[in-house]
Amino acid sequence: MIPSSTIGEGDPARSRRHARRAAALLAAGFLTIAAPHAVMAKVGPKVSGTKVSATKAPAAAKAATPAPLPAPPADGIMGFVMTSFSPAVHIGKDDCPEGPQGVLRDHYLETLPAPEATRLRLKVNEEELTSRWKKYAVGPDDTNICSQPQLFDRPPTRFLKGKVAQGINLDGDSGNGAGVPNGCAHENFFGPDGEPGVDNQYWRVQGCAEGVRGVNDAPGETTRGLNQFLLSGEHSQVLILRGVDSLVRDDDVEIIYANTEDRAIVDSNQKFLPGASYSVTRTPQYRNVLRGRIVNGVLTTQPVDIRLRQTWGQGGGRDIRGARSEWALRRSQLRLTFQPDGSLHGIVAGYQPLLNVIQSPSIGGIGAATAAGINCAGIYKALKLAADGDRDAGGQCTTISTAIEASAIPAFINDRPAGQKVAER
Amino acid sequence: MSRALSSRSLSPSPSGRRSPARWLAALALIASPLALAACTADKAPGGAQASALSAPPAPLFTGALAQVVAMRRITESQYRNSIADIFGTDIKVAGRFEPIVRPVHELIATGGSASTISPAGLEQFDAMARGIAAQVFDADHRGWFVKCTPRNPKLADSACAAEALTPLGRYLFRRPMTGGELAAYVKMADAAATQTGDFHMGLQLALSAMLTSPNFLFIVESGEDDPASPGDLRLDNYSRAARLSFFLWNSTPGEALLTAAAEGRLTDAVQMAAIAQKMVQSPRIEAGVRAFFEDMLLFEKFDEMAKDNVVYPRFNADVAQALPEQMLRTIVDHLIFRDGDYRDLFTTRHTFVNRALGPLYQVPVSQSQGWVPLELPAADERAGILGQAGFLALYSHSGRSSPTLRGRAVRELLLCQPVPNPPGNVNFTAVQDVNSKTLHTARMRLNAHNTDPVCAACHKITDPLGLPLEKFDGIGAFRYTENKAPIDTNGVFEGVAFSGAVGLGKALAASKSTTECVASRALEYATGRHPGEETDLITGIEQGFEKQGYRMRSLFLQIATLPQAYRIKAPAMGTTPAAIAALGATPGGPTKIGAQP
Amino acid sequence: MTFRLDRRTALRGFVHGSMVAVGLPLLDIFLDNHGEAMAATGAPLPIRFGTWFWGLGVNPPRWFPDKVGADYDLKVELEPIRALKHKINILSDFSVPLDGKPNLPHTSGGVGIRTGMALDAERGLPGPSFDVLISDQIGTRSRFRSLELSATGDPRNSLSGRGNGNLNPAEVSAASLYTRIFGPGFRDPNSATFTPDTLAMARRSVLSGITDQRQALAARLGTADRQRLDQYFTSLRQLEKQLDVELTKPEPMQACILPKGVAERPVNAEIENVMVNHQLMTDLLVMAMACDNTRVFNMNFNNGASSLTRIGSTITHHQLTHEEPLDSMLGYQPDATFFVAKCMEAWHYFVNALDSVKEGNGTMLDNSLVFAHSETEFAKFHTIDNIPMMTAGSAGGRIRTGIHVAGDGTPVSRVGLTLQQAMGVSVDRWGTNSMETNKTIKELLI
Repeated sequence: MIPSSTIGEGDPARSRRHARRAAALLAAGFLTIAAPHAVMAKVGPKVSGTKVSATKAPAAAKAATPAPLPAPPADGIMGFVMTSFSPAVHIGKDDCPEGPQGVLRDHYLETLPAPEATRLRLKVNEEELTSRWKKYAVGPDDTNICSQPQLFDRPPTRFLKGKVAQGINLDGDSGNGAGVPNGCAHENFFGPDGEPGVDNQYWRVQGCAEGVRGVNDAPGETTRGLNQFLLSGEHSQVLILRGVDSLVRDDDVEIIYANTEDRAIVDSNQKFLPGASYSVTRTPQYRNVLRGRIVNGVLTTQPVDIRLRQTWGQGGGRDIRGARSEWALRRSQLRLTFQPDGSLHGIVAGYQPLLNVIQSPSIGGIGAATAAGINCAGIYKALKLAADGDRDAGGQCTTISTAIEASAIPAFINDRPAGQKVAER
Repeated sequence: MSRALSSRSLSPSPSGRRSPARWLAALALIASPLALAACTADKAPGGAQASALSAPPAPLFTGALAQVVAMRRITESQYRNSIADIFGTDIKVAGRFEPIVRPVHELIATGGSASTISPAGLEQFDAMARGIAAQVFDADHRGWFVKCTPRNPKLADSACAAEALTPLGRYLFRRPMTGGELAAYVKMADAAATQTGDFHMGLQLALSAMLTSPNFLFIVESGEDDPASPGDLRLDNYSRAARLSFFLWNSTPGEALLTAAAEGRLTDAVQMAAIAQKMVQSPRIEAGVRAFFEDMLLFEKFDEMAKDNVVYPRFNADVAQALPEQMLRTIVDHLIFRDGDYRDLFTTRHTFVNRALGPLYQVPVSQSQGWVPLELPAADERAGILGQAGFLALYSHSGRSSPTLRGRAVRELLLCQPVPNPPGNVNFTAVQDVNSKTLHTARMRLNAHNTDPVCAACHKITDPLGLPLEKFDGIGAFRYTENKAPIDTNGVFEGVAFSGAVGLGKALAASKSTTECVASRALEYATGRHPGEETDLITGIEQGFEKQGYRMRSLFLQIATLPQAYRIKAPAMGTTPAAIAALGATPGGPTKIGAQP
Repeated sequence: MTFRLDRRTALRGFVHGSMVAVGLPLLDIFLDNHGEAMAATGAPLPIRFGTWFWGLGVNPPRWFPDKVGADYDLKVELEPIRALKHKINILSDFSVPLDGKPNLPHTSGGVGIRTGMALDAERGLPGPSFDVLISDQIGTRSRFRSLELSATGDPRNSLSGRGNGNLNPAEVSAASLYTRIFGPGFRDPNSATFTPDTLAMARRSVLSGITDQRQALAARLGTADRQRLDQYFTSLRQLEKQLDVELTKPEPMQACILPKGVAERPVNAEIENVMVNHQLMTDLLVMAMACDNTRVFNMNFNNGASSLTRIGSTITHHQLTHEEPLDSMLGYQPDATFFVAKCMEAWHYFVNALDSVKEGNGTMLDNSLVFAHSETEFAKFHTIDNIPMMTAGSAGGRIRTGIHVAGDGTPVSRVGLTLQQAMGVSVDRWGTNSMETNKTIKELLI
């Protein structure tokens, strides 16, 4: 720890600069120090629960150190704004024995006979190779592997081989999933705490992609991008919990999980500020109503389809950049843990349609394939093979189990229940 | 919806654009019901407002212009408001305004009486003037201001130019032009039209000359013999029109006031009182009260406020922008919309917040856009204008609160009690070490610092008024402790002990110094002269203020109708009291409060 | 030193006559800025403004100085500017808030810097770029209002325009640039003919009209107010003098020499070729300014999503920033960084070319303000906060140089506002939504 006196009065501008620079380095992956925990306002050390002894601690929560939890407010209403929301990453050392997912150029070379691949890898043949692998990205009639991945039949990209992933047992099955109604057989993961039956076939497909997994312990571009969009207000999310009597045990809590159009209120380091106000979106389909319970500081919800706005600022197609799309998480469940500082942290899991997984490069089109080297068709093929939900008549599963890691901090949320236009005036 | 918001919606007009001569609508209260339609008439060029502009005769000034007793540099907001009122709110004013230097312990309003215009400043005024004139006579707008048709748009046309420039000159100079002045501007228009081959370019250049003229850039006050006080001068009618308008509405006199001046009604005490009474009842008084408190409370300092974002990461540009507006909304809501007692401004629990301020106050804000009323709970330790984050943040250092700066600001700004500057060689080490292992709170650090009797002498004056605010940090956010140590918020003022921001507010509300100070500031603001030793006059105004329940409108009305405020003791030409005052008020730097612990 | 002081004292008396009260602080400042140049030549030297753009940013830890303020430290990627560091400012830590609009990669950042607006869709500039607003102020009287150049080809490689579909196309060939400037139509400042501007003549007579009113007002004033009025008229005379200068045949431009022609060369994005094209264009531009045929320019070294390549390679700079892994030992992408080094080498060439032309007591660079910027901070992640920016030259004494200014996360529109004000644009507030600002960067303005 840096002695606080050096930050105090000596040269405020200089220390300010250092802090910002450190934040920038951290973001850029140059440093790997842990970010300090934000100190939340209005969080006292009070514990209201006198019923602690009456509650049985479930087995899954035994690893959690019992930390004092704040008492819920008297009216039982708690508001939160989401501060992170991106695919849940768990790094295992045996995850990607064949290396990372790789880029289109590599995948193209893998389709060739070995001597031809070796020839093309020579420096003198670079121009020929570039021209050929870029052609590999396009199909007839102006199609390309990212805009129309389903029109190409390409070898699947590499799967993750590890046994452990974050996520929730969505189908209630701990075997191979073959018997799940409307599902498809798949290899379940164990959770980081050893919980069996964890469904996260998304991680199976994308866990070796550097943009998702990250490089050298720095978060990947997907993680950074999605969290950045929360900040920029492109798909900011809020939670309202109603009827909360205790964070130790409450069998019935209503949860509003919605987008907000309000710009994030952040500090000078681009971190969300607690205690800011947000209003629920005016678009009713992005206001989801969930029911759940709290046991020993962990909020879980019953499965329900969740729709949230998703905005992609990135991509390559000239006119559809910034296109708006959706998170469509079917039979989705939340598992969020109250933290001593008043924040929430945990998992949002559900089944998403296969094409949604590659929505960003699809919107990007040919540029995603040739500039960033994303092999959309190969990923799509892998998604089809790994899909585990919503089996169609032909026996093909059309959705894939996904776990998203989410954090939220206290906020004041103004609800806009559907059909309440008069009250707004 | 609060009264604050509904009242504000009166201006600008619903269409978002205020038409030329906007004051006609407001002044209908005074003069006649004509031209309320001016608010919405912008869709019809050449409609109501244009005819309103040319409806009354725009006579020339006959006889000799009187002796000048004061020249007050127009402020930025007065300039902007004048242009909006005369030409419409869609005429853009873009440029840097040369700041008016605030004399130490005085108002910018008095600085304006001694201020001049530098070459760099005039260059900017000239550029702004040309920008405004180009818009006024562009194809979209000229129809409202030029009712005649030039014989040939490529040639000069003296008669048409004179017809267009005569009313504009009267609005800009706040009196009709003399025949000589009009002839000069028409000559400029003609010459420029001939040189450029464009009649309207001629008008543009003539108008930009008017806007660059000292008669516009200075509010020229002139005096005539005062029959009530032989040997002295009193402000003449047109100067009174400008005084009333700029003091009460912070803008240029409109048609009704200019007409009243032409008819000599503003030197008639009864008639002037009736006009002033209607002006303080108008919604436009809000602009006047805002401008007064911006001056009295040194709001120009907000432009320079900076916070260390390591210490206060949640202080950002949106918060900085909201703070002065929150104070002004609280002030005009209490004093004008609620017609509250000035003393209660120090204890009121009514204020306003927007989304940016929500996290700082830790309160919900029910709307995504704009301001919403906030009533602080009775038990809240925050109340009154001194409990506002704007005041608390402005009188703090960039990385810590400052009981001394806060106490000094209370003394100097709200009680009119100047505090001496610290000596040059003070050792501030003890005060500045906010991470001291032994001195956890500001009070402890100041006590250590005050073992030096030289320091203690001044800190005795300031700190007891600042330490009660210590539960608010350097950006005005509430805190229970400092460095985990409890905060002692006891203070004492005029022999009475109290604690906390609420106690301080009550103590100030109970003191005559508070009400005398604002009365004195209002007089200084209206006249542009520091009242100096005129204590009897101030006492008298304060008594009138008291009689009216300390209502701000009544204070403004009293000063607007006070004969002494219009009287100039004039011993001899060339050495008017205004001149002496101007010389005496040596412009120094701005009050250097920042150099203290 | 005493000589200078005496000369200025004498000058003050001469310029302002015996009536003027001495010791007016604002007047002194004015003379410090402009008096010397006027006294030396009778006319102020032309002040130029221009931009120099490079795409794909830098490696932040290897580029930004640690020290804020004067005498900043040079990191390895800024090493090329060492010799001219005292004439260059580094601007860090300004933000481009987009208010929920998408971050269009390689576009939003540069456009935000130049227009103070967030881009809605990739359809040109959302409003005027501030170089155009400056050219409205200082560029109207020279032959070219401004010159736009792209050393990487592509005439659409430009960030200058008025919005609504208007984009000033860039000249991509050095040979064509030569013809455009020095071909038929070249205006030789050293030629014998001079036609004064009619509008300036009209304005000049209007100012005389105001002066004519002096007597009438002065007669009504007491002593103190009369002094203040005198100061006003002194200021007015300065305005008249400025117009007089515009109406007088300009001084010969001593550095103006008609350069030799330039042969046609390939126009492409190979870095080796781009370096040469950039040098040729720079030299022609410098001479165009030495001959006062333009006072505003926009030089684009490479483009936003940089298509720079090395001869014999097909992989572009842009592709490298995304595909090349961060070297875990070095902490950066070595191949992509090669191009960063080339950009900074070219920047030094450019600034040095301006600094090599002697003008008055200084150089052309001293009489210019060059604003250099990129469109991303760290291209791999498309980050648009803390985009690297610099200024070079002191704009004839209006800009302090040799300092590193940290913006502490404030909007980048402060830079545009400050530079416009330094160049005399009448603007006090600039940008829209979160980028609207009235806060200039005081550290820069003298």
